Amino acid sequence: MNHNYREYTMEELAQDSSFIRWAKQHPLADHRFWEKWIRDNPDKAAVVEAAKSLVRAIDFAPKTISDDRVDALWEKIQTGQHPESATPKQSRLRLLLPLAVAASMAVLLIARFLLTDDTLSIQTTIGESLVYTLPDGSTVTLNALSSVRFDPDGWSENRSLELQGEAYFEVRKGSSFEVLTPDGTITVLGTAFNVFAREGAFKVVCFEGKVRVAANNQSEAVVLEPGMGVQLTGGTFASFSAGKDPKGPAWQRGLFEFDNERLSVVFDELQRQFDVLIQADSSTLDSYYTGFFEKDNLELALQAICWPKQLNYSINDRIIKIERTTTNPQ
Amino acid sequence: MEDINLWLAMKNGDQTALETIYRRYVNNLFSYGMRFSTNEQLVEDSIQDLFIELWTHRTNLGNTDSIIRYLMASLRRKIIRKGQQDHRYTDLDDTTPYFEAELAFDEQWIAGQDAAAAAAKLQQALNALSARQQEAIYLKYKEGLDYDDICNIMELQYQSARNLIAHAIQKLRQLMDNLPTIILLGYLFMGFGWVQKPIPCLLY
Repeated sequence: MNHNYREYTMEELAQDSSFIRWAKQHPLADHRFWEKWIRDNPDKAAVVEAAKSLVRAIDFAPKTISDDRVDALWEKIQTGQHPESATPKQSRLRLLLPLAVAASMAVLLIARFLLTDDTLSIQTTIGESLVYTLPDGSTVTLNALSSVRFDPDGWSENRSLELQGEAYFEVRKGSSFEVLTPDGTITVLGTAFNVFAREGAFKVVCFEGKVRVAANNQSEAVVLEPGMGVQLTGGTFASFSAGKDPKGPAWQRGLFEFDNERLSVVFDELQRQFDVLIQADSSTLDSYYTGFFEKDNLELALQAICWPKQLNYSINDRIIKIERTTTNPQ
Repeated sequence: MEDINLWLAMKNGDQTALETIYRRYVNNLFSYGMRFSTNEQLVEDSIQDLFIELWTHRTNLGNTDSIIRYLMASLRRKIIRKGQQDHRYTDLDDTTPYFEAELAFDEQWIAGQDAAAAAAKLQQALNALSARQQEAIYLKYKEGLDYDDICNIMELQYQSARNLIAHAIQKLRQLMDNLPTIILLGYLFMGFGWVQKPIPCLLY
């Protein structure tokens, strides 16, 4: 309250929170300050009157909810049941961990189409990627070990699906299109974007149009332009430049690129693309890698990762051991 | 209990704290929500969702000294999302939600024809503002929120929020110059619908 207010115009006064509280007789209004100020500044009486009139004129028609409905709504909240019209709950679809799966790998490389209640679930397994056309012609390209679930009958009213894993979307223009993940929600109208949502990691890259990303349980949201990406780290958004690529993410073309990424992340991807189990010590897994591998040849992929990092690999059936190259002092 | 303590109690699993929060703010939330949609059920469902999620995810919530800000921001997102599914609006590019402010005109105070015409004109001026301007005006003059809160709720930069309000006031003011003073005097006697309990965020 150190303001002098002498230089304030009528409009400025009408926007000052303290003045508004006083003009509207708010319980927290500083009556003493304003009454004294008016006494001390009689030449400002006209300005004060005009500002007061304006502030008081801005009132809004009340929209009230009856006490009965307040009670009824509280009852519903207590039962913990989401209303029927609400967005579907996140499915608890368990993704098979590459580690657990490694031994039993007589895997059918066929996407599974599961129909449970009214929702359709499309899943991919290790090493597989799949392009699926949604009822409106939008396409979703699933990377390995990923799934989407949606209601095909309700699709025309509600373009909303749940994603686990990683997928690239090319969305036809229309009503809003929503991707729900455990950590965040993406909303677009018609555009192309990639979502990575696995085990606590959440990352979105925009390739075309505008993409709105909101973290769940948070008031934060960002709008991405083409070439921009955002990831959730420690509960807050960090944006990054992803470079514009009209062809969409490279993984779609069997190319897995990494820019200063932890090796554990790189190996996780390798395990999802090849039916293998990687063993490496933690300091190796915590180091960073920049480069890429291709998905058609395991040995070449391993070389692409290991050679620049000065690592050795040995393949024993489906288990791959990664070790540091012992340096020769020579 | 102050917001910050009430919030902490709720986060620690105190269900009466959740109920206190609900009963303290449900009217503000409903009133705000109804500006985005005329569908009462949709607004009530959204409030229901909001509190269930608040409780389910309470352990992951950050601290806040302004519960109303947190609740309004979440409710806004929910209603907008549902509204989009309703095809209520189609242009996400300007991220402008449907928002309709409606001035309170008490018939009693609009006795003369001049006054009625003036009141209609003021409402017209408000309608001429963008949805975002109307919303910012609503939050500032109805809820008494400060710019930080408004930015947070509407996902705006500080300067944008100030500009929104400044331009809106400018427009309304131009109109006021043409209004007969009699109606303005009438407003002096009107009741104003502040939140029932003082909220700490007003104490900045």
